[in-house]
Amino acid sequence: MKQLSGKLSKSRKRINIGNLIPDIILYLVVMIICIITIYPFLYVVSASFSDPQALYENRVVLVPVMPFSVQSYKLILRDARIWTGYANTLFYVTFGTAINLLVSILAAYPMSRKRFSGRKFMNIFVSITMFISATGMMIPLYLVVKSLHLLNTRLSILIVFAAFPFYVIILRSFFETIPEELFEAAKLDGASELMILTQIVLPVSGAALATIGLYYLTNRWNGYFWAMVFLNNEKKYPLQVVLRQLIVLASMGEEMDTNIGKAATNAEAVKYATIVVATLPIAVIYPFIQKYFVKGVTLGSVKG
Amino acid sequence: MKVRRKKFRLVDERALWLMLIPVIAYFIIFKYIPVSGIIIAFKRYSPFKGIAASPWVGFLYFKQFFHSVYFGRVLRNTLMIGFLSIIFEFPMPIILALLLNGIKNKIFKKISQTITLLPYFVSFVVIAGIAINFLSPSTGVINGIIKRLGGNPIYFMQKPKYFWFIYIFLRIFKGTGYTAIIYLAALTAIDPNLYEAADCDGAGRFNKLIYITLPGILPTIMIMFLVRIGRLISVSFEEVLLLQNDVILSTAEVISTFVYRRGLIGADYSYATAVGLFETVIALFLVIFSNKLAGRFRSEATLW
Repeated sequence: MKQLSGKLSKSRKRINIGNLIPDIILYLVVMIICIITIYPFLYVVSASFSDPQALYENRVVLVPVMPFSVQSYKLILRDARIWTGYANTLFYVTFGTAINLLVSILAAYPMSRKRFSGRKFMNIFVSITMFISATGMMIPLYLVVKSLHLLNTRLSILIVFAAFPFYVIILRSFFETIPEELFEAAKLDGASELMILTQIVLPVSGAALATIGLYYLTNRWNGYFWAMVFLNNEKKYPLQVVLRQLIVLASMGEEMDTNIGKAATNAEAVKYATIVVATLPIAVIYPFIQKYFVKGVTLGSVKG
Repeated sequence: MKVRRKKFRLVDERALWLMLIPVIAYFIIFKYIPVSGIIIAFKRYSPFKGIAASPWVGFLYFKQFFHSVYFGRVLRNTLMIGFLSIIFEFPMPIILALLLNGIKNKIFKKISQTITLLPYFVSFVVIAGIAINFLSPSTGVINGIIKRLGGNPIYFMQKPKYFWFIYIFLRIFKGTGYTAIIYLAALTAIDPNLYEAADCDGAGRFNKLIYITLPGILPTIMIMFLVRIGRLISVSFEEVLLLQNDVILSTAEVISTFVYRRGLIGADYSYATAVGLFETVIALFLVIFSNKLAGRFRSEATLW
């Protein structure tokens, strides 16, 4: 039926050219949106490979201006801060996301058990913290971390944001969709709660865990603010804090200075190379993880 | 039957509470204790005396803030960014979703969605870095084009009047593709029979949009709108901070970044906490208000 009507409307379009015009406009508009979205990234790549002099003279528009140069990459890859930043981020992302998932699972599982006496209490206990504004918490949270002597420790980055209440609630809602009979049958067979969790619940929750894990991972990878506040040793900085120094603060400073000397010529290209080096891992894994985010959005919007 | 089941203890209370110990500890230490720390807004907090021994000062810091030149400025900037975001940023994902929904070619649709979702995965540090370099009066590509067209370079990041629009534009750039997924999900939930019936009645594209598509996603739009209202004054300090410099603070300073500057840079803890509490109270009021309204549209949607 659907196919038939599809064919009908197609043949109708072929006859009536007037119907094609809205379609052409539609495709054009979407294409323009895509070009606007992708252009900055293409430019950054082109600029990073261009002759620094050409970049300085505003001659790069879309494609790299010859002579093709990898000089900027040589310079940035020699910069120890980038490598330290990468290593630190890898550490924070790996262990941080693991802690995030562990705490979220430990919270969500009991909260999903319908006969658990503390279910209602835990739901309120966790949900209520979603209403606390980040701005209001900024100073008190900093003082707590300070009084625990966690300032300037890698541990602070790992545990201060060990769980996001919103993701706990999403995971709980997902666990709740697992049929209660499964639990009861396992219980009758003498399974412990830990066995039910690890052998029944977790194996069927792969997609939900992947989605939430990726959200945590993105947060860990992208976050710079609290790392900047908690840490004051460059050796512990994650990549984003390093990037802020190299491509945001450096540029702001430059812009204040109205007569930039030729010394800045190389700096521009190096900045673009830095952006490429820092964004490459995301560009590589993005196509593979995209579907989990598409899933995650709808998971979050229908949460109960 | 019920009595016999109960003997088997369908839930092992002790094991579940055991799992919750680290969860409860985390929430108490890093969520609930900071909330109680808000009390320093009413004290003259000194790090040497500790919270308990610091003297009470009542609403002194609130009065100081309300009577200062900053109050009007940061409140105006915060609200302006909030309103401009509702006017310009809020409709974009709806428009994009409608455009993508109208595209019949599956491959074209998939590629467009992949491209428009890409900026969401790039950290705001990188996006701010690209923006600042693009807008640079000397080497930026935007001013390069302006110069080539015979204009004078515009100092985008040094003139206060541009800041709100630059920030909103970057928000649109980063978030539109992501939020559009929510609307696309809502669009697929519309009954296709409605469109077929409309086709039989000879309804055109525009009529279908007005009478079927828009009413179909209206509940989602309303929910998203109310969520947005709830977050009206919660302007992200992580994002705004990256685009700020001393010259444009008159428009770029929002409540949350002001708390950061006074509290974490200036170590004026009590004053900053008072400002943060002021934001929290308004934000809480807005969230409760919008949740109440949202409850009318969809009962599960409360508690966002």
